[in-house]
This record gives sequence, structure tokens and C-alpha cells, in this order.
Amino acid sequence: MGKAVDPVCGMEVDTERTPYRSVYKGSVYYFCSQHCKKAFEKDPGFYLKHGPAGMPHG
Amino acid sequence: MALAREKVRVVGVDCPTCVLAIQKSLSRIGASMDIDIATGEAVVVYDPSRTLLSDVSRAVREAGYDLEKGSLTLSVELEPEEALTFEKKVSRLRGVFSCHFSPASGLAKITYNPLTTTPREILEAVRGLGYAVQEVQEAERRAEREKPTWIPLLSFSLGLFAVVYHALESFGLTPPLPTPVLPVVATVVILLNLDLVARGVRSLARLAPTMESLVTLSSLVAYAAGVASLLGYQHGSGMFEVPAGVLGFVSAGRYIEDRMRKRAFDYLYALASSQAGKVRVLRGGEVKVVEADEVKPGEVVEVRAGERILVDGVVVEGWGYVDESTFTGEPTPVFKSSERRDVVLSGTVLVSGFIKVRATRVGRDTSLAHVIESVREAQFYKPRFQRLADRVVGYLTWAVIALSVAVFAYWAALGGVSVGEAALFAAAVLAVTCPCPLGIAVPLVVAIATISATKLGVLVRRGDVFERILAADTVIFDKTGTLTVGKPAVQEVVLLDGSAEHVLKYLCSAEYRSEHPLAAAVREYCSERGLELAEPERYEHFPGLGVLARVDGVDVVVGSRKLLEAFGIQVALEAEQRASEELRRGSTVFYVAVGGRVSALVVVRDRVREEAAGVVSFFRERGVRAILATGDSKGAAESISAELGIDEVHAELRPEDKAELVEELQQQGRKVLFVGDGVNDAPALSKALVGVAMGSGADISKEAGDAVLTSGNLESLVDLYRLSSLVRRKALQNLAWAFAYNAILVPVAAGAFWKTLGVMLRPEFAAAAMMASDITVVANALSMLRWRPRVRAPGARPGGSADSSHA
Repeated sequence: MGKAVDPVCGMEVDTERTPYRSVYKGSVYYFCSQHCKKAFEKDPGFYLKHGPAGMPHG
Repeated sequence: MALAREKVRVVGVDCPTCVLAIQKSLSRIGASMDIDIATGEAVVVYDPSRTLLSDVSRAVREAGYDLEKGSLTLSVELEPEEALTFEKKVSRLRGVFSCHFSPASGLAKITYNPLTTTPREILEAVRGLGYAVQEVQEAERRAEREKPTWIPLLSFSLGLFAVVYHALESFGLTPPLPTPVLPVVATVVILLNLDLVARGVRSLARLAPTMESLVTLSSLVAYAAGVASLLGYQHGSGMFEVPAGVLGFVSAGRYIEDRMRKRAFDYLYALASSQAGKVRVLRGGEVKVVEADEVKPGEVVEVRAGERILVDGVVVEGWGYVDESTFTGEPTPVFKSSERRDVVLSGTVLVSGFIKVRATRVGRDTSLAHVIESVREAQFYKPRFQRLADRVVGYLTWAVIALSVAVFAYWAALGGVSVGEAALFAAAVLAVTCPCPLGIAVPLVVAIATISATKLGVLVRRGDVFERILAADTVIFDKTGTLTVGKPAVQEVVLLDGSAEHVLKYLCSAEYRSEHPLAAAVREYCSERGLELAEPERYEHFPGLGVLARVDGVDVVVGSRKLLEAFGIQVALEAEQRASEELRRGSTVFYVAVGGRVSALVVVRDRVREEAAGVVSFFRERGVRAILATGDSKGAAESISAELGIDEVHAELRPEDKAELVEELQQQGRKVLFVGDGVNDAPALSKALVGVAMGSGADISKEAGDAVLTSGNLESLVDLYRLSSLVRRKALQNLAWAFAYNAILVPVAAGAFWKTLGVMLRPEFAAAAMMASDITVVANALSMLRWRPRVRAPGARPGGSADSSHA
């Protein structure tokens, strides 16, 4: 499949290798870490609307 | 009062509360301990006149810890009658925790404190007590003292000659022999059996007389009387046929008995030797032939059809049928393949096929090595009634010696017979008494039962399991893996949309690459139906939720409702109702959506073992209350207990809650048999009166429990129970026989019917009767080797469905 962009931190992610993925409204999103995945799942709308916000803190 | 101090090392202490628990436990036996938490080193102070080191060890164990121990196996020349005295004396030695002697194998197992003593010191000390002992190394166990066959044969022939000739002579059928012949024959027989006579005298000197002491006394008394008459102090026909006959018959009898006993242990030796041999191991791209125990875990070993597998491991290449009867008692070979990463065990045989095995355990770590060790260990435990018999035997021999003196005195002084005849009565009493069966009756039965159990697929770790399991009035079953197969299987695919063939193809293809246990269940379901699979073009795995795959251009989602909803797929109310109904019954449910529509509902359930219902009702018929204890949900637990007819259910328990449940029931006075998983249920297994672990086919040495069902078949529990009844019956038969024999023949030998009926039991015939009785007992115990529970229905094997599908 190839590359995708982590919607939370903006990093490029290998879609085949990352274990962190999530489904939102029928689309699959890939993440670089559990951290980003959690942040996304907490408020997916925010990241999809505003784009990657860099590494989340806290 | 002089206090003893002993330096010990406590295993498992790591906190001040542990120390408190140990001290509390020790204070109950009047001992105290200072422990260094960092190293576990401790000094225990106790009163040796009231407390033994073994009590200290037990107290520490009761607190939940243990002392560092070394163990030592000795071969001891000891008669069963002496066992109790020997054990008592040795366990009082400095630094010795415990001593168990097994009359069945002649081995004593001693555990000691490596901080204060050494095996050498113990050996010296035991020799100092007057026992002939030898340290036994693993390899030497087989080499036991064995007389050359000609000695017992010659003794027997000479004895028989003397007895028969004497009988013919007294009826006047043969001319009298020249005077020196019988004395010479008697002397030769005594010399031939000097070792027996020496042992008899030695144990008498240790004030623990044995059967050999009695026989020796009997022969020597008669010999002395014979010598006296030769010298003219007495008249009457010679006495020399008595020692010749007694020793001749006993010598031959002992020989037969030893041979029979050894036969029982042959199976064990055969088992041990099935571990040794050469294997072909792959090293650096080449096949090398090495000894089995030189293989390192992680290396790959090649096995061809007809060969014995000599390592424990996982099949990584090929397939084949493996005969696992060594562990399971089940003769039907089991299918093993690399596809399923099946586990194979050392000691099993590859009947057909070709496999490569990645070794996980080798040499002394294999399950088989552990089984052998446990079986050897088990014979050191003595059931309660044996301890009683041991005590009786100790007094019996003394009583017999006293009785024979009394008999001699009575006949010589009041009975009006000659001194020579009085001596004959005394010698007969000594020769007829048969204390041996009392000492050997039960240990031999237990040792043989332990071996028989191994053949049935039950590993018995403690000999008292046989006794305890019969006492149980409550049986607690774990659910997963015990009453159920422990592996989820697809029970039903409920079709909601589209054709079955269509949906199944998508489902199976989507799950093709997943490694989740539920996916494995689906794959098994698919391969049983021989469905054709397509390699998915796209595959995404969402941990804990399910998978998304694209098969032939169609998106397939297999997973929980949550995953489907995330993909915007609606689950129909009807499907949801069906799902929640199945969930209540303890199943796991997931959905299959093909092209955005919910097409099927997959119901996965851990299958109940086919034999479970029969086993539960077996115990209930015997008035044993059946309880289910599980970590699973209440719904699942109740549905299975209703199916199997279980009396009581405890659900949602953690392993420690199960242990608590056991403890609670036992405080109410119930005797609990716990059957469960050998690893997860370890706390409960150890708390119960009897803990039986369901063998998982993996590492037996890591499984807790007093017994392990290595067959992986719950029915073996019933076999164990039946075998236990047999053990009790045989043990009681043997004891009853021994008591009855002595009660009847001792008075006869003493001359109780001499005056009234003219019946006299001559010592040589008394000795023959004694040996016959002894051999009867051994033969009765040995007959257990042939015991089979009953023929099991084929296919009653767990995981049988998967195996038979390949057959």
C-alpha cells in the first residue's frame, strides 16, 4: 500500500507496518504511535478539520 | 533445655511481611528465626527435643515459603520392617530435613540443608548408625545387588534333598544316611546364604529385627540343637534338615520375589531409555548426528517415519502421525503438522511422515524426563495405612521372638516333649511368621499403581493421591480447558444476506492471514469444509476489533459491531438480537460485512469436551458434589453447568479467588478435589486436598498439582479414581492376607494342635509357607500392571475433530 500521513503529528507512516490504525466514518487512518492514535480517537473531527498539529503533548 | 541453632536459606522472602508470616508460623512450633531479607539467609533456633528440622521446614512452607534444600538418594540394604526406624533415625541427623525409604525399590531419599551439611557427611552419619548404604547416581540405579542364579538354585535343591530324604527316612523308606551327610548339607546351605544370615544378625543387633532375623534365628536354633544331639547331649533324629530346608526355601523364594519386583520397574527403565539415542540435527546447513542430550534448545532436528522423537519441540516443517501413547495411553496416532505448529514430545514415535522439529527442551528438561523423575519420587510417599503397618511390623518381629522363647519354655518344661522337639516348635514359630507382606504390601501396590497410571496418561506426583482422591466429597472443575476444549471453535455461521458459499469464501479469505485465536477458529472451520481461498489484495488488522480485507475487489470487514459502525455499516436489529442472545449463552459473536452490508454473524464458542458430562455424572453418582469455578462470565458458566448437571457455580473468579473458594470449603470440613489448569490454577491446586492438573501437552514440569492428566483427556480423571479404588482394594487385600496368614499359622507352628490332633508344622515347611505367602502378596500387587480401565470410545480425544479431518 505504501505511505500515509499521520493525521495527528503529520509524520509519514508505512501503512503496512504500523500497528496503529483507526477507522473513522469508513476511512482508515494510520498513526506513528499509540499516543497519536489515542489523541485522534479522542476527537477525530478536530484533526481532520485542522490538519496535523505536530506532536501532541500531554 | 539446650536449644539448637541451624543456619538455613529461605527461598522467596523479599519483604518484611514475609518474615512476619514465617515467624508467626514458626512460633506455633516453638521455634524462632532471624532472616536477612536480602540474601534469605537465616538462623533458626529450636528445641531439638521437641521439634525436628522437618517441622521447621514444614512451618516455613505453611507460611508460603521454602528452605533451600539439597537431595540425596541412597540405596540401603534394608528390610521393609525396618523402614520406620530407619526414617526416624536418619531424620534426626544434623542438617537432615526428611528421609523417605521406599521398600519397593530399596532407595531412600534424603533432603538436607546444604548450608550445614554435605552428602558425604550424611553418608558417614548413616553408616555410623550401622546401615550399609551407598549413594546412587542416576545411571547406576539399575545395577542393584543381585545374587548369581546358582546360589538360590543350589540352596533350594540341597534344602529339598534334606527335607525329602528326612521325610522318607522317618517312614523307613530309605536306609539312614551316613551321619555326616545332613550336617554337611546344612552347613553348606548356611554358608551359601551367609549374606542373608549376616543381614539378619545385623538388623537384630540394631534392635530392629526383620524377617531375615527371624529366619536366621530359626535356622541357628535348629542347627544348634542338631549340633547338641550330634555331640550326644540329646538324642533323636537329626535337626539338620531344618536349617537346610528353611534357608533353602527362603533363598529361592527371595530370588523369585526380587525378580518379580524388578519386572514392575522394567517399564520405568524402558521409559527412561526411550530418551536416549542419536538424532540428526541441522547445524550450519548440514545434518549432523549427535546424542539427543547434546542438542541445544532452538536447534532443528529431523525425524523420519518410524523413528522416536528425542526432544520436546514444535514441528516447523512437514507433517506426520505421531504415536503419543507414552503420555496419553491412547494408541491412535495423532496428526502433527508444521502448518499448525504442533507440539511434539520426547519419547513419542513418528509413525509415518517426515517432520523437522525445533527443539524447545532437551535431555533432563523434557516432559518425559520429568515424568520419570516424578514416578520415582511418588513411591517415597506413604499412605496413612502404610505408616500404621510399619509400626505394627516393628513390634511384630519382637513379639514373635518373645513368643518363640515362650513356646520353647512351655514345651520343654510343661509340654512333656524332648528339648529337641521344643526347639522345633520354637524354630517353626520363627520361620512361619511373615512380617514381610505388611511392610511391602502397600508401598509396592502404590509404586506399581504409579507406573500403571503413567500408562493411562496420568502422572501421579504423590503416592497418597490414590488414598486422598477417594476421600474427596467435593470436586471443583475449572471451565476453560478443563470442562471445555479450551480452544474456541466456530459453532455456527448465521447467514443474514447473500449465499452461504459466497459469504464463507469472503470470510475465510479475509481471515486467512490473521493470527488471532478467533481467526484460527474460522480457518479451521473453513479448512474442514474444504473452501477455496483467495489471497486478499488488501489486508488491515485493527487490534481488538477485527480486520478489513479486500478480496476480489470487494471490501470485507470481519469484526465487532464497533468496527462495523466505524466503517459506517449499520447492523440490523434482528442480527443484534440474535447476537445478544448468543452472548448471554457465553458465546463470542462477530460480524461479517461484505461490500458494506452485514452478511453473516459468526458464533464462536469454546466446545464442551465430549467426555465432560460423563465425568461430572461419575462423581455425582458417587455422592461427590460438583462445583464449577471459572473466571468467565456468569452467563457462560451457568449455561455450561446446566448442560453438564453441575450443582454449584462460581463465576468471574480470579485464580486467587479460586484458591480462596477451596480454602473456604475445606474450612467447612469439605474435602476438595480441584481439577484445573496446571499453570493458572496453581494456587487452588495446591490448597486442595487433591489437585489434578489438566495436562496441556506442553511443559509438564511447570504444571502444579498432585497429579497431571497428561492424556489431555478428562476421562483420565475417572481412570485415576478407579485405579485408586483398585489400589485401596489391593492394599487392604494384602494387609488382610498378611494378618490372617499370621493369625492362623503362628498358633499352628507353636504346636496348638499338637496334643489334640497331632499336627505339627515343621520349621522347613513353615518357611515354605512363609515364602509362598510373601510371593502371593507380591503377585497380587503385580497383577495391577495388567489393569486396564475399559476401552474408550474412539474420537473421545480432545482436538479429535481436527485430527480426524486429516485421517
